[in-house]
Amino acid sequence: MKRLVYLSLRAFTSLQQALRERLTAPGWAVLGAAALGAAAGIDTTQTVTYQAFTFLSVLLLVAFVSSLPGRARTDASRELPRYATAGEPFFYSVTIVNRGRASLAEASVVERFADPRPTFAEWLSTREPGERRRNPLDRALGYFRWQWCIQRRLPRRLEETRLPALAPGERVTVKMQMTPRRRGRLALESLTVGQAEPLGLVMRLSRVPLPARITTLPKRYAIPPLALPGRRKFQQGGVSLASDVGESDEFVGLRDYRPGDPLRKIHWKSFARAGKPVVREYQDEFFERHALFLDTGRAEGEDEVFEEAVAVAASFVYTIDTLECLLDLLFVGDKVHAYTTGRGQASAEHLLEVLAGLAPSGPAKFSEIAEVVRSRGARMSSSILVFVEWDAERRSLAESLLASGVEVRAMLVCRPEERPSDVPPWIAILHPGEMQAGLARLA
Amino acid sequence: MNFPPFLAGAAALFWGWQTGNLALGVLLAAALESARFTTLRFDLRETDHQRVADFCVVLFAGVVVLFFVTRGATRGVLSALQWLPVIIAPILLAQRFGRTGLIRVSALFYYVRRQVRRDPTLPDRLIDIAGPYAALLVLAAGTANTRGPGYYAGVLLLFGWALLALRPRHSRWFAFPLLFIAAGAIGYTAHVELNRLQSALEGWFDDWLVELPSDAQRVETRIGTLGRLKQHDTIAMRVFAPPSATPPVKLLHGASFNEYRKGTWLAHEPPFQFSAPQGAPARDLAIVLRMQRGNNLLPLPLGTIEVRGVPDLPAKVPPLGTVTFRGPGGWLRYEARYADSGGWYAPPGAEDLSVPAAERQALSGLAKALSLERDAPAQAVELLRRHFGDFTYSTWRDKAVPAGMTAMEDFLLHSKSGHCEYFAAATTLLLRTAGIPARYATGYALIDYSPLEEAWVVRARHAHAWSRAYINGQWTDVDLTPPSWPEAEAELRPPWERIEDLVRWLVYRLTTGDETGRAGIFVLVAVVLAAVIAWRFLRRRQAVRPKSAHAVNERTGEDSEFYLVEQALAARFRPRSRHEPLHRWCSEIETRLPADKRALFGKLADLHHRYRFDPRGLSRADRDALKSGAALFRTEEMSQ
Repeated sequence: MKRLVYLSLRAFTSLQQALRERLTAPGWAVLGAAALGAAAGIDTTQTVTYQAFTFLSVLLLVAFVSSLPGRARTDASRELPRYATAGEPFFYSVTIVNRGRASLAEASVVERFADPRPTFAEWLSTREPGERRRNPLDRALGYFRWQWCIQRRLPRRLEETRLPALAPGERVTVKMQMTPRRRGRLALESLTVGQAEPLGLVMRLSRVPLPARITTLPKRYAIPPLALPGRRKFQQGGVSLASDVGESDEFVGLRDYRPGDPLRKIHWKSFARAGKPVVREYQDEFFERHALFLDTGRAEGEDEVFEEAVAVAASFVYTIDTLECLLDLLFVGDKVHAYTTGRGQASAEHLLEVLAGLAPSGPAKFSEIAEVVRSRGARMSSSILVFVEWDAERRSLAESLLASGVEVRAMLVCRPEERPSDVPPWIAILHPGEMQAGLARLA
Repeated sequence: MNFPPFLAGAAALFWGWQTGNLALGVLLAAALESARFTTLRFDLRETDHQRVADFCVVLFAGVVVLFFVTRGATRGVLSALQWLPVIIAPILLAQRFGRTGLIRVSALFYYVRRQVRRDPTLPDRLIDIAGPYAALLVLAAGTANTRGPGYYAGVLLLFGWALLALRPRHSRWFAFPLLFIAAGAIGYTAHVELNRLQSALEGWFDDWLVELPSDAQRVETRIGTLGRLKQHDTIAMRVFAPPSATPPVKLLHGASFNEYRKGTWLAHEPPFQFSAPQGAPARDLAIVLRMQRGNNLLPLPLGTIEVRGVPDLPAKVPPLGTVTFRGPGGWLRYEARYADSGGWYAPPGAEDLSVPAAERQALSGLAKALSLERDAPAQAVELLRRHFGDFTYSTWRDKAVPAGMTAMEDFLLHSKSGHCEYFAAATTLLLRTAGIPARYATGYALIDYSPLEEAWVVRARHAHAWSRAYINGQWTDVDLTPPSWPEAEAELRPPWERIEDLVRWLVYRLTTGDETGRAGIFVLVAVVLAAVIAWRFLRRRQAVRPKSAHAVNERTGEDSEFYLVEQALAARFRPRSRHEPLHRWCSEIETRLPADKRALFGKLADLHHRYRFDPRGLSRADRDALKSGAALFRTEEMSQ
C-alpha cells in the first residue's frame, strides 16, 4: 500500500513538473477551464459544458502535437557562484547562443534541477517537521512529507527569464536569479529554452545539459560585537597546532648565546655582524580557544527551531575572527564531530559548509556529546552553547562547564509556546522569527 | 498577459443569452466594461478586495446550500454554478474600479492569504482575473443546458477571441487559424461522440445495476440465505393521517404472488372481471410515494376500490391487486379509497392452493399436528398465530440449511427463527396445506409516526411480507411475523436518523410543498445566511472598530499638534513639498533652527512619528509631552 502511495506521488509530481514546464499562462487557463467543464458536464444530458470540455481538451492536444516539431537549437553556458545563502537571492549570468537557422523570438530560459523526488526508503524514513501535529490521514499518506522532501532540494519558484530576439548565430547574456529555500546543496541539471507553439498554449522545449552544484550556506545573523569571554591558555602542542610547517613558536627577539642553546637557533647574520654568537629567542604561545557546541538532538527533526540554531552557529562561525583564536565546532551526527578553525586549521567557509549539510541527531545521542564537551573543558577559554531542547541533561552540562571555570555563553532556541520555565537567567532564550532581536541582546 | 478588451462583456452577453437572462447579461456586461468609459476609480485597499472576495464566497456558499436544498444535489450544484459569475462579479468590478486595475492572489484565496501572512517573503502577485472570469461565464452558460449549435459556436468564438489576442507573434500567420479550426472541428466530433458514448454506457449499466423492487411478477426472497438482511433507511413514502397511536392501516400492499419455487415467489394472473362493491363504506388515505424512474409498484391498503392522482394507470385492473405504473422519478401524491370488504382481487384459483412437492411432507405433518385442516379458516389462522408465538424474529442467519432439508422445513421444525419472508411464506403454504387459499403479499408496514411531518414515515427497511388469505369469502391480510419485529427493526436505526429526517423533510417540503411552505424555508435559509454574513462582517469590524472618536485620532495621529509646529516653521523657512517625507524636511529644518530649539524640535518630531506610526501609540505622558511641547514651541515661535 505504501509502495502504491509512493508510486502515485512520484507520478503526480512528474505530471506536475511536466505541466509546469510545458504550459504557458493561457495553457493553464485552458486546462483549468477544461477541468471545470468536465466536472460540470459529467452528465452530458444535464448540461452542455461537456462541449467546452471536449473543445478545450482537443485544443490542448492539438497545441501539444504542434509543439513537438521545430524546437530551438541553442547552446548555453552559465557562471555560477560557489556559495549561496539560504533565503537570500543570488544572481548569475547565462549565455545563450542561437545555433538554429531561424531567428529565436519570444523565447525564455529556465533552470531545470536534478530529480528532487526522494527514494522510497528516504520518503519513509524522513521526518517532516511538525508531522506529529498532522492528522492521521496526512501522516498515513505522507503527501506533505513528500512535498517537504522535494522542496528542500529546490529553490523558491523560479520565474522564466525572457530572452531578446536572437538572430541565427547571435548570442546573448542574461542575468538570472535564484533564491535557495534552505541550506544544503542545489543540483542543477540543465537549462531549458522554451518557445510557445502557434496557439500559445504549450511550450516547445529544448534542453541544454549543464550539470552544476551550488552549496547553500546556512543563513546568518549579525552577531553584536561580543567580547568573547575567556582568557588565553597554553595549548598543548604549542603553536605547531596553529602552524603549517616547522617550529613556529612566537619569535620574541635575539639574545646572546648561552651554553646549551641548540645550534639551529643561532641567528647567523647577527653572528656575522656582531662577531659573537647570537640566538633567536622564542616563547610558547598562549591564545584563546573557544568551543561552539551545537545541540542537534531535536526531536521534531529539521524544523524552524533546528534551522535557526544552525543559523546561530553559522553566525558565530562567520563572525568570530579566527586569526586571533581557535574555534572548535562540536556537534553530534552519526558520531561526535569536532572541527577546528583558526590559524593553520580549517577555514570558516569549511565550517559553514559542514553546517550546510548538518542533520538532526537522535535525542538519545546528547550524552555522548556532553561527555566530549566536558572533557575539552580544561583547554577551552570559553564555550558557546546553542541548545534546541531543554532538559536535565542539558542543564547539567551547562552548569558543570560553568562550575569548571570555563566562561559559558549559552542560548536556547525554542518556540515562544515551548519556552521552559526552569531555564536559568544566564541562558539567552531565542525565538524563531525574533532571532536578530534576541541576538542583539547578547551584547 | 493583456486580456483583450470587451471580451468579458461579450462573455456576459453570451451567458445571458444561453441562460435566458439576457437583460441581466446586458447589465453585467455594461457594468464590467463601464470602467473603460470612465476615469472614476476608488481607493480600494487590499483589505477591501479581501472583504469583497470573502463576501462573495459566503454568498456563494449560501446559494449552494439554498439550491442544494431546493433543487436537489445535482440540479442544485449546477444552478449554483450557473449563477456563480453573477455572485462573484463584485470581485472583478472591484478590481476594475480599483486604482491598479489588478488584484492580489491573496485577496481571492484565504489559504494564500494565510500563507503570505505567515511568510511575507512568499510571492503574492497582482493579477487580472478578467480572463478566468470570462472562461467561467462561458462554462456557467453551459449549465443552462440550451441545446443547439449556439453554445459550441459561442465557446469557439470567445476562446478564439482570447487566444488570438494572446497568441505568440513569431509563428507564421496561417498557423494559428489552421490549428484552431482543426481543434474546433475535432472538438465538435468529439463532443457528439461523447454524448453518444454516455447514452450507450447508461444502456449497458441499466441492465446490470438497476434494482427492480417494482417487479410484479416475481420476488426472490432471502429465505435460507446466510448473513444479515440488508436494511435501508431511505424514506419510501409518507402516509398522511391525523396523530394517532395506531396507523389507519397497518399494511400497504404492493404485490401478491401465488406460486412458490425454492425461495422465489411468482405471480400467475387468473382471468378476472373486477366489480366494485356496492354501498360499502369507504375511507381515503393520502400517500406520497417516492417514485423511481421506470417501473413502480403502487402501495395500496387492503380493500382499495379507487385510486386518484396516479397518471397513466393501466385500464385493466390486475387480478392479484398489484398495480404498476411507469414514473419519471420524484414524489407522487395520490389518494387511495378503500373499503373494509371487497377490493381489486380475483377470487381464489387453483394456484392459491398449490404447495411445492418438496415442502409438502413437512407442511402436511405440521398442519396435521396443529389440526389446521379440521378448523374453520379463522380458527386456523388463530392456531397458526399461537404456533408462531414461540418463534423469534431475526434478520440474521449464520447456519446453512442442513443437508436433505429445505429452508422452509428447517425454519418450521428446527431454527424457528427468521425474518418476515419466512413467516409470510410459511403462513401462506401452511394455510394452503389446510385448504385455505392464500397468497404471498409484499409491501410496507406503517410503524414510524413523525409528529413533525404529521405523517407515517415509511422507510425502505419497513418493507414487509405477509400472507393474504381467503377467509369468509374475502381476502384478508394475515401477518404472523412476531409483533416484536418493529422493535428489532428500530434497533437498527442510526443515531442521527432524526437529523437526517429533518434534512429529508426540508428537501421534501421544498420540492413538493406549496408556495407558503417553500417561502418559509427560503426565509429560514436566508436568515441563517444573513446571520453568517453579519457575524463575519461584524467580527471583522470589531477588530478595527474604534472605541471612541478619540481612539480614531490616537491611532491615526491626525490630530498631532506637530502639524501646527510644521505650519509655523513652514511659514518661517520653507513649506514641505508635496512628496517630501516629513523626516527629511525635519532634518533640514533642524539644522536651520537656533541651537537652543533643536533639542525640543527633535523631541517633538520623534514623538510625532511615534504617535503617527507606532502601532502601540503614545503613553498618556508622552501624549501630554507632545501637546505641551508643541504649544511651547509655537508660543516661542510666535513671539519672535
